[in-house]
Amino acid sequence: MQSQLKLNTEEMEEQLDKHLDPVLSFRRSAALPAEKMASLTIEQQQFGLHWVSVIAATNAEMAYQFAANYSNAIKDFKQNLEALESWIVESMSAFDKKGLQLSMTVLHDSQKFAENYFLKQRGVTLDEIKQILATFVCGLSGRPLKIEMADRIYTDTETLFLPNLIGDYDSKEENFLYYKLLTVYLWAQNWYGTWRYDLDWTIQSYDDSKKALLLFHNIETIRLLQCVKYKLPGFYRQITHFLDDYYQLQQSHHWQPVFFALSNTNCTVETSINLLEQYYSLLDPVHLHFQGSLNTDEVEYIKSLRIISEKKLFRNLLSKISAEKKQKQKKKENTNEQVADSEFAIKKIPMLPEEQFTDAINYELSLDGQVISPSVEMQSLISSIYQDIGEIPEDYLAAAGPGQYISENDQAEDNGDDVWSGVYHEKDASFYDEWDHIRQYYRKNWCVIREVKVQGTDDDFIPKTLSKYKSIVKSLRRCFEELKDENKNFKRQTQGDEIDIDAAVEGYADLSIGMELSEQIFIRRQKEERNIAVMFLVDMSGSTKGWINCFEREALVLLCESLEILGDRYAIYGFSGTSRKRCEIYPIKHIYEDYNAEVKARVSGITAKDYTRMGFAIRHLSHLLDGVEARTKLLISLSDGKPEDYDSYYRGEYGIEDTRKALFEAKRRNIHPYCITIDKEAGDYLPHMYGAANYALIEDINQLPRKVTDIYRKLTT
Amino acid sequence: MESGSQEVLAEEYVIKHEPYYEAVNDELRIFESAYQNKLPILLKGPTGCGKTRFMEHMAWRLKRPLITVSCHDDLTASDLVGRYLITSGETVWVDGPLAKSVRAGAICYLDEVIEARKDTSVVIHPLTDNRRILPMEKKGVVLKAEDEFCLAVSYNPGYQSVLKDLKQSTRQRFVALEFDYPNVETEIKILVKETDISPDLAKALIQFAHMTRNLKGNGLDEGASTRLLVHAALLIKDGIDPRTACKTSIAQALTDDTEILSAINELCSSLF
Repeated sequence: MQSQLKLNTEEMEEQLDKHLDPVLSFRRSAALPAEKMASLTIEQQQFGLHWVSVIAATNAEMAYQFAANYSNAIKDFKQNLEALESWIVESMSAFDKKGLQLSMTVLHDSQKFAENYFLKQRGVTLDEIKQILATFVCGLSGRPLKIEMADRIYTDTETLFLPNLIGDYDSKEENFLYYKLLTVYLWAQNWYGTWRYDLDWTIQSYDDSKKALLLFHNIETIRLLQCVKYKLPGFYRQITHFLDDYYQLQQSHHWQPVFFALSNTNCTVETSINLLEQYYSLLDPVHLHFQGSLNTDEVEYIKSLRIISEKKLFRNLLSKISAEKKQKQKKKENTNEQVADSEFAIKKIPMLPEEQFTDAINYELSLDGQVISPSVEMQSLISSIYQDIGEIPEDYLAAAGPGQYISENDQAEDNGDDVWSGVYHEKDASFYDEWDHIRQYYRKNWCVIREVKVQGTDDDFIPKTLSKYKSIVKSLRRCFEELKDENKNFKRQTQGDEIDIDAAVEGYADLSIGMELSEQIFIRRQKEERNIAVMFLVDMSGSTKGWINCFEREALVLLCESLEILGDRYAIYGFSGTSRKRCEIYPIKHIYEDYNAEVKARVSGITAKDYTRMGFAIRHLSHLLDGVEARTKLLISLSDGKPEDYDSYYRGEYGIEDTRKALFEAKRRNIHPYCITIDKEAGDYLPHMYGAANYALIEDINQLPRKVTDIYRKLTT
Repeated sequence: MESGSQEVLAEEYVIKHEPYYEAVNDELRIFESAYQNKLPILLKGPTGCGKTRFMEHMAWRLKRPLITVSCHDDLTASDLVGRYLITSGETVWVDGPLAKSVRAGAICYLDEVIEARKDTSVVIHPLTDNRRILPMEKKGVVLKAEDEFCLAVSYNPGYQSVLKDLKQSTRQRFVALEFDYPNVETEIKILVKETDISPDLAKALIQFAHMTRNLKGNGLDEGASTRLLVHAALLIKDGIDPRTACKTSIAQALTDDTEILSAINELCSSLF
């Protein structure tokens, strides 16, 4: 057959002429491409001709350019026809989207495309494995660390920055393992105290501070790998083949004393600092590919913010413990007299030899000589402070006075009324009472509330979100379908599909002893009606601007998708406002409204507004829920921080107590309140407001969309 | 060792050999005191932390029969109290496990009581206050509990479902004992004693358990329980590769989420 014969230059030109005729002329022939293609194998020739004909059907010029570049591209793509095909398809799709110009760029740049193609084939992108790494690093000890993409490999002590793609190794497994190496290495910097020392100050004391930093980094890497080797022996075995440079260093007789000095796992960052001083003039820094860089400026900035906020939080928690104790003592002694201030003490408990492998930090916190068991929040705070400072300093142990959040209110009291004077918004508004915990009574009709229409936005936010979370949406659908279809056997029914043997036997027995036969002897199978009504209260305060707002909206899209399947009645309201005179509720979906295009546009149109006065919003939604007939009523708030408002008195304890009161009122109406928050300090006030088991803290904002739906499922099954 | 299956009446099921239990705090003394004072007991704690084993141990210590009922959402009051059955055309009353316990002065342990139907509280409440009686509505009698009778219930407060919560009117009748995962030292002892593995292997398993417990609230509802560690240890002792053993008996038991599973398996492979 002719098609199986290899074509010579003339035959090839003849074939090409057939397809490229519209763009050939007296000065431009197919001779050159034909000459190049004549040297290819039969298979490659056939493949090339096939695609010339396909491309020519779309655009002859593009086909000509393809033919001209084809033989070079074959080399770039290492004779891999599958790879070639993806390059061709990419160029055609570029033509469809942006025209000839872009498709030509793709066709001419076959080398770059091939490099990327092979990199992607064996490489791993951070997006693919970010979640796995984040969970993995969470399982290791220490404060939760986020994973983010960056051009450099480093940590700022709260986030691990990793490259977008790793494809330097032969397989996906190997490239993933390299990501794991980077993750563990950066985690080790945080956990084993690289940042506990003021590095900037130390490094600046050297004449060549750049060299000092690089050398310190090398020394610290040796120390960290020793710790990792001891703590994670399996991991260390897995990564040995990535450590060639490191082992070379180990063999170098200049470096051997450093390795020897760091061979003990009890070495600290101080050991590395001392070694730097000792060997600064004797050693030159080396480049170890996995160690990235030390970003001292960023770390110092993040650390200083964290130290201040954690100190505040720690002292606040102590003051709460102290206040509780005083309260109990007063009750016990039945007195109103002032009780003496408590004294806290903390000491590190030396670990038993058998416990040392766990790496845990054991502290004993005592109040007036009595050991107290710290809450989970307190434990993780102690762990984080220890990571930064290496101890709990004395001044941390002075409780913050009667409620730290009160101290935030020291500013002069602004009056909301001055700002919104007159009858602004009072017309057609609803009024709600507000709880004043200092006076211990309600301020009557204190909050002026209006439902404000949300301007819908008709953009592609919903389809984009659904596509972004495609796999999650699929599994949510499956999961919620199962919930919906849960068949229940209702025993002892007056009618049904089957006889309830237990009931029938009992009935027969009753009959035999002279009692009346019960009619309830059937089993009825039916889908259990969930009879749940839920309202979501979404924080639209200014602090949610940007990412948080975006994730909140995404969470709502996934929620709506799931709840539509489940059939639970649900409503979504946003809330925000400025001062008591301007409390605004933004209806996004009413309880009986369908999840239609208008609702979708409103979800898409949710924007960050002003402040977070919460009490009125809870009262308003409780009022709305009260009017709904349902066996179980839920009020779920999505929030990013504690209640606060323009009225400075509302910040701190006043706002917390008012919200708490509003939640009590809701509970009295048989409504279950629940809060989902991303505020890391939530442990400080949410258990007080909602109760310990009635809130969930989502540390990583990226997780909000998937977690919210998951929490709802668990909450209602 | 006794061999072969044996049929023993529930009310006569006395534990003859001491079930291994490692006390963590003063739970043994508190249980004994509550028992002597005829107070019902509520065990709170995550799954697999030793609640059931504790009950077996206490039954052995107090030399009382132990009747355990695993509660489920179809369990009604009459399942606990008893019902009439027909034998040879005649009606015969058959006691339920609670009635059997009350008569025999046994310890009745209602495991995961929160799962049972709400009507069970009708029979639980009169037994848990000073009346200590069991109303048998069908028979029209009340059964006075023997002095040795004891009611214990357990539940896992980790569930955050609004549909499943122990009502105040029920929970405020019990002496509550809180259970949690044992500390490292105790957990090593438990693993070594239960499975006869080396302390080093026990340490590695516990380290792995701690890693999974760090994930509580971050993808997992609960971390690996001591029970799961015992399972993994038994498999490893039987020659299964530690990574495979942890994967099958711990990771897969904890979650179905593929990403979390991958992360847990990575944690496991970092240790073994």
